[in-house]
Amino acid sequence: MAIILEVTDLCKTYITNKRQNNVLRNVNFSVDEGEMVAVMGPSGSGKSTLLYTVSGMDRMTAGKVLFNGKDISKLKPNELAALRLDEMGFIFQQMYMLKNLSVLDNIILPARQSKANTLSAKEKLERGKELMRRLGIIEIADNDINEVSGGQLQRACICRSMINAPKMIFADEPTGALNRQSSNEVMEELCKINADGTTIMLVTHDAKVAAKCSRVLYIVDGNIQGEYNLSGKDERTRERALNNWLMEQGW
Amino acid sequence: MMGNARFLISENDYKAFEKAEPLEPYLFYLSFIDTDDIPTLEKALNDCDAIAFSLDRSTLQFTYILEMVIAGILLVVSIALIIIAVVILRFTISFTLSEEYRQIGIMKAIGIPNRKIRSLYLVKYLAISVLGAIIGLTLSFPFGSTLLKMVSQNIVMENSNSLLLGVLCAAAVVCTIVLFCYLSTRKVKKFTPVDAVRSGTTGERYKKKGVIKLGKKPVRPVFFMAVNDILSSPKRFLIMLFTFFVGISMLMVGLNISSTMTSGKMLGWINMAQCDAALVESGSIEKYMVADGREKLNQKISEIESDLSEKGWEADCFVEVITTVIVTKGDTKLKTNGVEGINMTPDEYMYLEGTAPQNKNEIAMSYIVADKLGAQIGDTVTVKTPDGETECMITAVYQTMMSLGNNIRMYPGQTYSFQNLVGLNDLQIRFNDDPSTGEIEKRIEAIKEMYPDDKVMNAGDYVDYCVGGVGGMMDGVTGLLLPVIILIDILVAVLMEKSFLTKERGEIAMLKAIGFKNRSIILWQILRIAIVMIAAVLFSVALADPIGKLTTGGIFQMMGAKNIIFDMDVLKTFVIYPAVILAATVFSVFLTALLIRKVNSNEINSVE
Ligand SMILES: Nc1ncnc2c1ncn2[C@@H]1O[C@H](COP(=O)(O)OP(=O)(O)OP(=O)(O)O)[C@@H](O)[C@H]1O
Ligand SMILES: [Mg+2]
Repeated sequence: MAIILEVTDLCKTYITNKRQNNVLRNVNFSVDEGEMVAVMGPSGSGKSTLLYTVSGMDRMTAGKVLFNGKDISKLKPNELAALRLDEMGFIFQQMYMLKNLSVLDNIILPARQSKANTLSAKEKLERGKELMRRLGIIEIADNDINEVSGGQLQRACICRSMINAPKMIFADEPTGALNRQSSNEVMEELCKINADGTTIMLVTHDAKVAAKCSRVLYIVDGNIQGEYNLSGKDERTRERALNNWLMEQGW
Repeated sequence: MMGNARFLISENDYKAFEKAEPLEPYLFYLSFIDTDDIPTLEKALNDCDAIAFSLDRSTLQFTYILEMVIAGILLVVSIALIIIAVVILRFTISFTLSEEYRQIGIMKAIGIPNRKIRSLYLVKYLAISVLGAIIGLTLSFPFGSTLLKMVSQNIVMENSNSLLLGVLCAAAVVCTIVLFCYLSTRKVKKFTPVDAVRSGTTGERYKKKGVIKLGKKPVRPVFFMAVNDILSSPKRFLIMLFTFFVGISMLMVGLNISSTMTSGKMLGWINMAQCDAALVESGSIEKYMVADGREKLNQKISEIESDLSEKGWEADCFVEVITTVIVTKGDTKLKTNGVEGINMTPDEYMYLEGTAPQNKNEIAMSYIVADKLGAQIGDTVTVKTPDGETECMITAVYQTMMSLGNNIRMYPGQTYSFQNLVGLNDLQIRFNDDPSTGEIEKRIEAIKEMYPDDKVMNAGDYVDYCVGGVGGMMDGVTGLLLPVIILIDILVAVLMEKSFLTKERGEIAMLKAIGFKNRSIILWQILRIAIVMIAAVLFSVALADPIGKLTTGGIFQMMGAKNIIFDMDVLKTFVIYPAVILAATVFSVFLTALLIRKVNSNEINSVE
């Protein structure tokens, strides 16, 4: 399998009040195409920072990140923006959308903004509706952002992240604000998307969520402390095995 | 001097006239009366048949008109500024309040009464407005007197109590502002403790937002977002629209007045006949204001006419002469000016109603004189000139800005020996073949060569000459108006943009995260204000006519002109100036919006 994301010696240092905070220290890992990787770790360990840095949302301090063969540290801000727009999808914990736009308009917005997406405006709209239908939220297409539930909104965010058919989706605690039931539904959708071929990297605190992934990276103090490959069909066994491993890591 | 109003000259003016070179020959006519007892003086002057002030009177009157116009423009501008200030204040307050709904909600939740919360804000506003008042007051001393000097040298203003008066005014302003702020903080009552706890946006949470849908519309998304935002919070953008609109309209009014005042059309409103050129003969007053002046003047007129026809240009040449008359109707006696066109029939002037006088027993009068006399068309009045009395029927009323609208028009030749004239204007030339502007300029050049001792000019310049550099002063006023309006618009626009940036920080971070370029996001922000600005320009252009009638018309009416056809410099008024304002405002918004580059896309999860 081809490697889609290759991270070598990644460092990220924040300077606050003249104090250095080395959030990421020489992180090395790679993600294969079609994988679904979960990033876990204690609060403040640098999970979000890792996700933002490898996806080009934040500048790295040192190291090298190859995304789909491109060295993202060499890209100009506009090229990075285009890369995020066309080849990456994003899902956040806070279900951010433009509050003046309807749900459907929010979903098709990245498609309309993209120059690489050559579909017609009508086809883009159709694709937006199709995604909503697939995630079972077509009935809220014309609603305002204020008029939908958290779970529905997060599924809408998944639709938005998928609209430009990205190579990889980055998700920072996508289920963090959801109850168990909504969380399960959202994870199901992500698994389906993954099964259809989109690579996913997600940050989570939830072992149940992580158990659905193919691999788990455990990060402590800006270092990848351990890595665990999940196998087996049965969810219970996967979960139990993961929990045991997490316990070993000091979860 | 009723009917001839405002000839009480200040000491400053006296000195100014002393200096004024072209007036030097006639200074001996001017007596300097030093008195505080103005009513007595007025009475004395009114009873006095002899002419106390006999310098080139029209110059004085024109100058006064100009002062009135500038005072009027300043008045209109000040009112506009006050409106804008109030609107901005109102917006700022309700904006801060909705930004701080959380704190307000918490304060309410822990049981602080509305009154306390409001007074908290009031103390803040009081402090700010007192500070502002002190700064304003301090600045008013150096700037105020300079401004007064600039604006008016003829209007004498009492200067002695200015400190006390200034402090009182400032205190009144502070009180008004604080009262206004208090009323504006009514919104505090509407916030509930739940607002603070609820994690959603503000109390607008349940308000329907998006009005239009992007769907498959073939527009750029940022453009759609901008339009949609405007439609989603119409109130905020309407306020902005309104302030821009007021500013631009003011500028247009100023420009209209300016171009109208400097156009040849002004001749009509100062009750002179339209002409293509004017010839200012030096020493004309000594030459013609003598016993046989009428013959001399007629001779000069026919001389010019024949000179011109030798060149192949058939033209009429005429002159306006002015004398003092006393018009009596019943018990009402009014001292005013009588004007007569030499070599020009009364048909050639503009009348509001009635028909031009056809013989010596008919006169026309300005509507102001008619009002003062309580006379109407068809009434008979007695007109007393230095030469005698005639019973005349009023056949028409007209408007004039001469003598602030006070004069009557007599049938030519009816009157008076020229040594009793109050003044006479210059030789006006009207070509009979209706030449183009370019052709007129060519002919003027030729006439200059024919009469090298005299000044020759076109109608617009002649008005400018009469009114005493009105063009330059008007340009000065509009020149001042433009930067002021630009500054205000920039202030409003930047204020709004800053508040948007604070409010929309989360959305901006999100857009960046999902791959919108800075350029697109900045464009989105700018477009909203630019659209509002363009709408304001369009509204101003569309409403220029009624607004002009209301404001400019009002100013001209003060001077005796009832219905004015404005002379607009279309390119300057509707294209260049609005474009300059638009460009300046949008550019400043652009500079403000550049802050977007500082918003980091990873702020997305830390923004509330
Ligand atoms: N913009 C920033 N400037 C300075 N320091 C930052 C910034 N963002 C994060 N940090 C610091 O980096 C460290 C890691 O933060 P990060 O958000 O990556 O943690 P996390 O693993 O995602 O935590 P959580 O599970 O709570 O989301 C923290 O110590 C935080 O204080
Ligand atoms: Mg995090």
